[in-house]
Amino acid sequence: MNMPAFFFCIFAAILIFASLAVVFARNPLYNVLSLVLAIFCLSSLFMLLEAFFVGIILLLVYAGAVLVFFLFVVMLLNLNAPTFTTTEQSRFRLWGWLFGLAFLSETFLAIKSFLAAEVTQPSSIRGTIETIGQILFTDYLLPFELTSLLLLIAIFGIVSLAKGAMGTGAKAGENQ
Amino acid sequence: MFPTIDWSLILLELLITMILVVLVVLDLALPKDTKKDWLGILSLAGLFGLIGFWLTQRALVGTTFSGMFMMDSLAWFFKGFFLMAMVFVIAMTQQFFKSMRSRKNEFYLLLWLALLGMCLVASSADFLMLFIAIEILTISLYVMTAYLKSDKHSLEAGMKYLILGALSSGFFLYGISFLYGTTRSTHFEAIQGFVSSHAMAPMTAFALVLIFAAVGFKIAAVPFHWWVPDVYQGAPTPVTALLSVGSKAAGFVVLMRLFFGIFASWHGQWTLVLAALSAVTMCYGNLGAMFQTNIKRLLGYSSIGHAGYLLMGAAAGSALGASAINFYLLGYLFTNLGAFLVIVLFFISSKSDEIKNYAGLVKRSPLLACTLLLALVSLAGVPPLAGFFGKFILLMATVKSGLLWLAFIAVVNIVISLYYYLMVAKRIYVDAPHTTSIIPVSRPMRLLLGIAIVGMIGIGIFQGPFLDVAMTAVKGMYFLPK
Repeated sequence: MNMPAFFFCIFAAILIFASLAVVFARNPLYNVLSLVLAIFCLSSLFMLLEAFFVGIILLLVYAGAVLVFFLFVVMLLNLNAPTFTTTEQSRFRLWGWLFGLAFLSETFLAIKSFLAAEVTQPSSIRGTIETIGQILFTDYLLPFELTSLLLLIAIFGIVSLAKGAMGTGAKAGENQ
Repeated sequence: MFPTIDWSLILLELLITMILVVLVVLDLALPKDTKKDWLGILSLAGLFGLIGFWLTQRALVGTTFSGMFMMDSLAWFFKGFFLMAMVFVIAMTQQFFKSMRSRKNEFYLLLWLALLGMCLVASSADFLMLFIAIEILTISLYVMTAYLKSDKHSLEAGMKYLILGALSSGFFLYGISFLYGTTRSTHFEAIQGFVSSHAMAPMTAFALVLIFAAVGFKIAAVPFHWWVPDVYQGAPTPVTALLSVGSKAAGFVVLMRLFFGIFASWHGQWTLVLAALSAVTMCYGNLGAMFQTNIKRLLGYSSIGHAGYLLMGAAAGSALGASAINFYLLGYLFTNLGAFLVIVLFFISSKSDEIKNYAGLVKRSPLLACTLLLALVSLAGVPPLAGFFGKFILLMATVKSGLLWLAFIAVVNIVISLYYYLMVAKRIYVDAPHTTSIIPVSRPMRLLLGIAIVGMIGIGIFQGPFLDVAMTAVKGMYFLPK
């Protein structure tokens, strides 16, 4: 077994266990922490595929910013596990397992069929900042520019939904 | 290489963005205590200007931005559709938010962003671009759905829509990644080339299912419909109107690009799946609508039913089926938006969406009663209204493609739908009113209600020119030979 395959197996195994822990852990704190671990492994997998930029961004933005923010929310708000009634829970569980297994087997079939097909080596283009920057500002210029509008929507959304929320609710917001 | 850009193709979207920027600046610059609703007035003026400009774009065909953005007859048709729908939605917003002075302005901005998103969806020629366009539309809709913070239902609707919408975005991306894995491209034309020279493999089938799940979420087809009743009921009514017409039509553009374009050569594999989904969707929508007591919820279920009718056109897989979808949507625009306009005007004076409060509406406002009656009857498909002829050509396309059983199910559903639409009509016309107070309808609103009525009847009687437009819109698409 060569070096990249060895590391792939290690990171993939940790990734699977961490993802399962995200779903099954009871304490929200452990959910978030396992998600951080999962993101870390995922970013390592991207690095192994020579997609360095994506790996770094995943680490910086998700593990570094988003999930630490989640962690703060969970810790500050002192969230407990959501309470379901037992019948509700068992109904959700049944459907969840059913759809989950169907989806998993479908994914498995799709990937299995793909393994039989020709597998090409990753192209010589390396996922460095330089190449990605070049593609973003030439071929993918329009989608790239449009993401700025997505940020604008996010700003409008936060401002309009959070405005007056600290006061006595919507009445205070409406009459400002 | 920096791509050469043909600005004339994307001019409509640029103008929308410019108007948006002007409105943002105005929102900041206008004094806070101004009584007049400047943003609303300017929005309407801008929309009429854009419709005029849109008419000049008719013959425009081409791609630009390295093939990310394309303009063709289908995109042209739907852009006009979105602009017209937005005229109604903005007029509704002006009425609906009359009591809310300060937060109304941001709502207009979000509406403009949603319009931009819809126009970009119609013009996308690449899956990455399509994803961004759909997100622009959907994320602005999330915010607008949860806009009434004091209303528990609005918040619940926003939360539900957000969670299920995020899930469907995830499916969409997962599907795109599988498609990219097999075809090594995200570009429509390249994928179409791959599809026409390869048989369907499990991998691509899986990708198609995932992408369809996301589109099914947008058009509210079973089994991706769970969000519809609650979100339709809880969202502010203008947003419900936009969801039921604009967002659904945007979903259908993507659907047509998928099944009459990219995956057209695998026609045999998806026809039966679409036909089955169509049958289940219309049965679910129409049976669910029978027991509703809230008019917005009723129209939510009816919107699921209409998604089922429209899917018939896609299942037919023929040029007639595709143009039937366009024609039906055109009639649906005036019909459904007319109904929602009445709901908004009724809500302002009575603060209720319950069907029982509509009792005796004819004595309180004959114009509102008349518009709502026509809209309901047109939705049910009674001649000579737009809904009738739309259903007629949808059925014709289905039968011609050999799906006789599907047409039969549709006819049964149309009969079922007559029941619940006419129950509302009975409340309006036969039952005695609880109060006799007159519902005031301002002059601009009368004009708009008039436009909706003229649209419903006009499209129903003079089908020719509208059918022509619907047919030329699908000229560039691919259909399988019989």
